[in-house]
Amino acid sequence: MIDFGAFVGRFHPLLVHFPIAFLLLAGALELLALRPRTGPPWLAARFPLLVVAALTAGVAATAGYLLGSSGGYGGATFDLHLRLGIVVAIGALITALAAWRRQRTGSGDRVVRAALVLTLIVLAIAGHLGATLTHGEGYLTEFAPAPLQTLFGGGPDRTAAAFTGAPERAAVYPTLIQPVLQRHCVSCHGPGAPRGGLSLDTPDGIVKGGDHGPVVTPGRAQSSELVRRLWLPAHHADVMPPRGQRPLPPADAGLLRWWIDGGASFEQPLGELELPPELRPVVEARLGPLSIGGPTIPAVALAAPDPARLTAAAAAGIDLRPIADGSPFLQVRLMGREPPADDGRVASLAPLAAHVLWLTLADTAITDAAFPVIARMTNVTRLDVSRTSATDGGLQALAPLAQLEVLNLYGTKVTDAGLASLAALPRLRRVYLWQTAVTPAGVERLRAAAPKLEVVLGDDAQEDAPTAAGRAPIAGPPAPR
Amino acid sequence: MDGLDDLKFNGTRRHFLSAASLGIGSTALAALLDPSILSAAAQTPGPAAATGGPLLASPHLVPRVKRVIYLFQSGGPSQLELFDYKPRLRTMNGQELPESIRKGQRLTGMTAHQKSFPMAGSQFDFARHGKSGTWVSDLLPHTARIVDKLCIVRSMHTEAINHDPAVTFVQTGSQQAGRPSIGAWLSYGLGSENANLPGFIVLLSRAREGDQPLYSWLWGSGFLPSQHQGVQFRGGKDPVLFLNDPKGIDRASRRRMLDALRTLEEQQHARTMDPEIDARVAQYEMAYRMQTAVPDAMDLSAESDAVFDLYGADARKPGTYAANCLLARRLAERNVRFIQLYHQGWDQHGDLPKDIRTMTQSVDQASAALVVDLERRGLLEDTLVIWGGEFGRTNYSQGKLEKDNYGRDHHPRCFSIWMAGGGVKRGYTHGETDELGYNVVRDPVHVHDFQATLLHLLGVDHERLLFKHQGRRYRLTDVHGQVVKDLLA
Repeated sequence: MIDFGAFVGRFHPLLVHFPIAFLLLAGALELLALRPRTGPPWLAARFPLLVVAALTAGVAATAGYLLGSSGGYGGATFDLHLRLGIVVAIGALITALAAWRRQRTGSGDRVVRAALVLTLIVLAIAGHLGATLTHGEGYLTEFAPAPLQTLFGGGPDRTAAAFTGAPERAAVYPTLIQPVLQRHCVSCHGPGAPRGGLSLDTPDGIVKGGDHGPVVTPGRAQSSELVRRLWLPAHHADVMPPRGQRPLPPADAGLLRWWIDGGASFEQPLGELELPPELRPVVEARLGPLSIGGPTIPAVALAAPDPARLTAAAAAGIDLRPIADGSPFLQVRLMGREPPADDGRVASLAPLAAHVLWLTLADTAITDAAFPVIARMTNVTRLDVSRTSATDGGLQALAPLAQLEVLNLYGTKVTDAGLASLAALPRLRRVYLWQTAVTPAGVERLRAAAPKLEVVLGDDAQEDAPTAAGRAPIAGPPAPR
Repeated sequence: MDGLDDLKFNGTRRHFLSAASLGIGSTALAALLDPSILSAAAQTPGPAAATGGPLLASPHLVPRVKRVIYLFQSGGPSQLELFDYKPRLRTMNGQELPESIRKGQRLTGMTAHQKSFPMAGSQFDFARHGKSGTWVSDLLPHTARIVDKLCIVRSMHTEAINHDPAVTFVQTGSQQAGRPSIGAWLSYGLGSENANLPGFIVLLSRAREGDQPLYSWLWGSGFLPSQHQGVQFRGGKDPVLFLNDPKGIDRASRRRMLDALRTLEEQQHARTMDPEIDARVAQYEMAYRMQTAVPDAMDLSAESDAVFDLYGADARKPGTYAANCLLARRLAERNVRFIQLYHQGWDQHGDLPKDIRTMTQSVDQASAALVVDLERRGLLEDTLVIWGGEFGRTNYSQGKLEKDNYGRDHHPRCFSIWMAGGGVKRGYTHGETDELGYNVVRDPVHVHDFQATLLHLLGVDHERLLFKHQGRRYRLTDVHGQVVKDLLA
């Protein structure tokens, strides 16, 4: 059975360009006509133009109506676009009638102009809404320069600012998944008459699925229709979002897949799910930096290190190996003490500086001279210089280490003066200061300057006294039966 | 003849490695180099790992720890007296164990014929400790003080009901002996970080005589090449048996002898291609390097008095648990990958109140001191410390329940362990047992799950570290085990 309405309706996006063009042209004519001498001849085209505009507007609106009723459309945007589109068609008709009257009676210019202006205003709004139905919210502002973005409230991270607090406690669905669905899916699969019977704006709707059954299989993203359609090739008939619309950015699609693989829970907080390294920067961009949980891998794209350089370093007595299969990052350890060559050995690591993730120089003969080289290893997250002759001077050179999270200074000559440079390291979470020359006062100042920094001094563990309520009832030995 | 081709390839690879300036034994530094870096693409499976470097050039996943200190408490420490607080047992003291709780669980031959199973409340008080408010028994005051650094698992369970199968199960993944132990798997998979010391070292101690024995297969290499077995370091003058040169042989002579031996063994290997020859050569060379490295590691005279105060007076006596803990810290500083302590004496079938006090007094201070000592040196970042036994103990009394005395039988259905260090949550308790401490009611962790998690923390996917033997592939966790994500920080 041929759905004639749907067939005709599909021409609406094509047909709608004609009344837009003609009405805008009519508006341009009015402007040109304002010029004192050369203007008025333009008005000769006014009436035919407006007639054609009204006719095409009527046809386009009819096609639009047929498209809308062919099913799958709904929601506030759709309703408004429908009404305003009809208003545009009516407005075009009124403008054409006014122009006819002007032609016949010779007066009523102002009526024509007023009607045209009003129609154009409603056209702009209706047209924008229509494009929003097709392309989704934020289509125009997504790549706009920052000042325009803030002005128009666009930009992809709108929802990120809404969440404050520790990212690990954020429930994944409302903060990460729901915005993705809102942005890309709900315009069609939303309230009103959701397409395919699938409503993705509420948890119930997601669980229920659409006309052909559930689209989310918790725990198995690859079996989920939602994910399958996102990953289809662009020319495939079933691909979502449908052809002509912008496909999901890989970050958003990856989030959906990860969420479904993790069980598609609507309440689970981020801290309970295992976050794969490639999604970490995406989540951090939206929710804020995540605390140390599992080894942090900086979100930089690096090629694998040059094997020749690795061999050369190995020959110099440096143990370098990848941190894991396929990772370009290295864990590096100087083996043995070779004074005074140790500074030189560190310097030989300079070509591999970007690849070093974990660096252990414990109990080597390095001096402060090695620290400028270390400072070039901007991806380092863990640095161990315990039991070396490092001093405050060396620490100051470490300022560029923006990714440093753990620093081991036990057994060095660091004093309170060096602690000041530690507070400035943005990601530093833990520092070991046992058997150094720091004083309790200096440590207090450091803790005040960097409250999130954990300082391990090596004092005996202090325990809060057990609360009275927390003690087991004092009872004698158990009574025998 | 694929197997033979593999062996032939081994021979070629070994010669390449030994000829290309990486001759094992030539210098200690050069010997540490991981040959797989040079042959980055070549990862021949199976017997190839008997020669050359470890099986994995780099771990499967990003590791959270690099070394493990496993404080194994042999005999089955009673969780009801240590970590699992059950006040209801006290109120129901003396009452018969309900069948609804026992659910037909098999018992050992020792208590199966008991006429009654009176429940025994713990004689020891518990209190909440630390910011996490975790319940810890008064028997463990030092452990209680560091409870905010610990990740306690109360819901461990196993199937084995007797010691030997149970310890074998925890160490090798199977109740029957013959498989490699955890340390051997790690040595095979990840290799050693220190060329001069074995990657798997075992230290034994006991607090009571006459308790359950241990067997060397518990730290054996099973079907893996034998250089991956655990090396037992003893207390006393000669930590490793037969390591030092006998009278009349000096180091230079030893070196010449080893070189000559190697030539002979290479000839033999060219004829028979027995991988055990390679293993033996590797162990001879390792022993040669250990001659200097071991005395240095075992020499406690460099430690300050403050350290001995931390670990307790026992630490000065070689062969005690405390001394072994201090040694474990020193070995960890030297990057030994798997340091296992066995402490015997926890099998309290009778006289529990008296004997468990002896046991806890021997372990409490030193275990806590080890964690604190590792932490202040920054070693706890990438070291995992584990404390636990092979199973738990029953909530009913074995033998007569008296006013101040009772015993407990073996109980595989629930027991407690703790972990501390990189990669595991701090101040966290996982899992729960029922009110009477008999069954696990929430988040059970099977021994295989624990093993899978342990390997995961070291960066090894337990499903991918395999060895083909007698026609099929084996792994530590057999065909079971799931990483317990809740334990991971």
